[in-house]
Amino acid sequence: MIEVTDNFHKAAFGQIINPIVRLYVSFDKQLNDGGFFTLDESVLDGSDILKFAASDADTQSWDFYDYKDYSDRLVSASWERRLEFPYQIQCAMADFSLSNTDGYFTPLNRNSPIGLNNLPARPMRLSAGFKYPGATEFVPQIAGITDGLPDLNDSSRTVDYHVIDFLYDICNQTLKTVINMRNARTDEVIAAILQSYGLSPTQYHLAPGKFVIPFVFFDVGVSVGDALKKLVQAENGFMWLDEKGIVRFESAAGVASDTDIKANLSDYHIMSLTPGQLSDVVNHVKINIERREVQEYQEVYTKSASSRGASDLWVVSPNDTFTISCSLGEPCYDVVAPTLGKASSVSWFTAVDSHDVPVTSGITATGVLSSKAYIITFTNHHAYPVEISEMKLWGEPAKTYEVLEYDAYDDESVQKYGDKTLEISDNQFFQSYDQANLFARTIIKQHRDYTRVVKAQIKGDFAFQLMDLIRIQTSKGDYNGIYQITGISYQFGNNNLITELTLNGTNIEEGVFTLNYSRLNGEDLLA
Amino acid sequence: MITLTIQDNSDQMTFGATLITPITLAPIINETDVETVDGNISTYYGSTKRSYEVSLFAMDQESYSALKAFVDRQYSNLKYPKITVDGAEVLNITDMTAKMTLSNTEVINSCGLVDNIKLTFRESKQMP
Repeated sequence: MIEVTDNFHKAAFGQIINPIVRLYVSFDKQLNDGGFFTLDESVLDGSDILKFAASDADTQSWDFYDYKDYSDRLVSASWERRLEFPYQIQCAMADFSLSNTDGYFTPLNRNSPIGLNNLPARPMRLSAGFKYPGATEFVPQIAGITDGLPDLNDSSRTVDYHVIDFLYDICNQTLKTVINMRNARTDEVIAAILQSYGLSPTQYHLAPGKFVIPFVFFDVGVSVGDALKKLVQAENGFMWLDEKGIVRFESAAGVASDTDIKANLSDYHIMSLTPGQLSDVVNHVKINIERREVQEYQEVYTKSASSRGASDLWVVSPNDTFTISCSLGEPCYDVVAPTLGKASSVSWFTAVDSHDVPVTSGITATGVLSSKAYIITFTNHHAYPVEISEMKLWGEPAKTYEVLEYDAYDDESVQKYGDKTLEISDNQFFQSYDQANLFARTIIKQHRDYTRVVKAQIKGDFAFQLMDLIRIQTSKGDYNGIYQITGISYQFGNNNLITELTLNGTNIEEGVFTLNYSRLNGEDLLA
Repeated sequence: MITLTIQDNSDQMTFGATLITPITLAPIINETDVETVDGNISTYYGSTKRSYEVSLFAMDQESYSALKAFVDRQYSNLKYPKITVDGAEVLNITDMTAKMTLSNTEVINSCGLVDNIKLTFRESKQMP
């Protein structure tokens, strides 16, 4: 739950409730020069964008955009956050409608002050709060970018924008640089990915991962979303962009340790409770992954001398370069660039001229490592052509030394519901039996039965966050119990606020299986 | 005497003797009641805005045209006029930005005057 004052909660659940939504957009994407939020000094309703909790010193560069306040033109806004199984990466999105009677937001309207800056991917922030006697208090709700151009609604003279959060945008990118790591914790790998996308360490808070990954190699062009999903899944963790725009990662243990109930909702708070679609059952987990380990330096590629007239000659033209991709049998952590002249235990190459006379100088080589190839470029500084005759590359291959075949199921659940298998064969970040075991046990424990899912329409409290635990205690009793928030949606407009929580039944006393604490062969052990 | 002044970027008109009292005040409370499962209600309150209805005595066609021009200019200038009511401080209307509506019941009588003029002002913040 976002840290707010008691008055905030009282205002949310009061008799006369005055919700207020503030919308900020940076159409010109200009950076704010010096007017940045200053902790404990910024004035509510002043020029600063967001009101942070006093204890939170998080800042990140998305705050540096020069946002303009468009709250006066806001007709309606809706926004939602939800968790996605099985990758547990949360996404948030928003829609908002703005008054456009004067054509202010009409794209390509040169007479509008925002003019030609009304383009896709404009940074946007939305905060919401309540006005109560003596104060108005806001909390951030979403930080993202506009998705596409706005839709014009001629009849109502409004424009509608769709917004996706920054993490969604990051996940849609591809890696711009190679990421090559060994013996790195999951959070360290995630940090490397985020940094390659341009995020600074102040823009993310990553809990220490529970597992060390022996070998990680991501090529340029790999989907950031795919990479992050697999990393998060292997930890059975959660990743999300919080309301303030900070990327957060929690390992499974971190989530399970938070068992505080954040709110009790009674008849007074609830408008309606309706059953949602039951959650999927998973009672069988199969993991088949090749386990790799980085080996000592060794020969990883050999090019033998080609016969005269062969079609695969590596010929470097005079004063020119020649590039070729050398396919490696195994992905490598490192490959040493070869030097001219045979040598032992290092990479080398030899060259000859057109008369098969060895060339011993004037040729250099540089290389770039990708996941399964070494792309090498030879440079010939001579005024005559040379042929690269032989070559050996030395490197540190990450060889498969074992195939991890993990199989766990809950017999009782299988008998009851049939075999409901989650099969994972493409996530190379499961690299140990313990890791697979912890993942499978946790997943099966959480999903071996259909979980009650309830849609609760309540008086909205903008401080609620996903994964908050709440207790439902109504006089009807049908839905009484403890739930985890897995979805939050708000609709604001037309003098109303409609808040719907998606709640998954949970039992905080059971907790989540934690390695080194749960008893092997104990009652939570799965067959 | 109570006077009503209408002003925009192009013109200003003040009505005194031609103003028919009382001025009708109709506050607009933007709110929605919601009922919780215990049968109680809560109210989501958005804002309170003022709305006034004013009737005028018959006026000549030239004055009527000038009055109607305020309404028309709203749509060409894309801005609402401002109104001030003096002599009735209880109404607290000073430079109040309001959407101006002119009823369709105007009749040109045998004297050539326009009669049954009814104006409505709905308070709204002026967009920048």
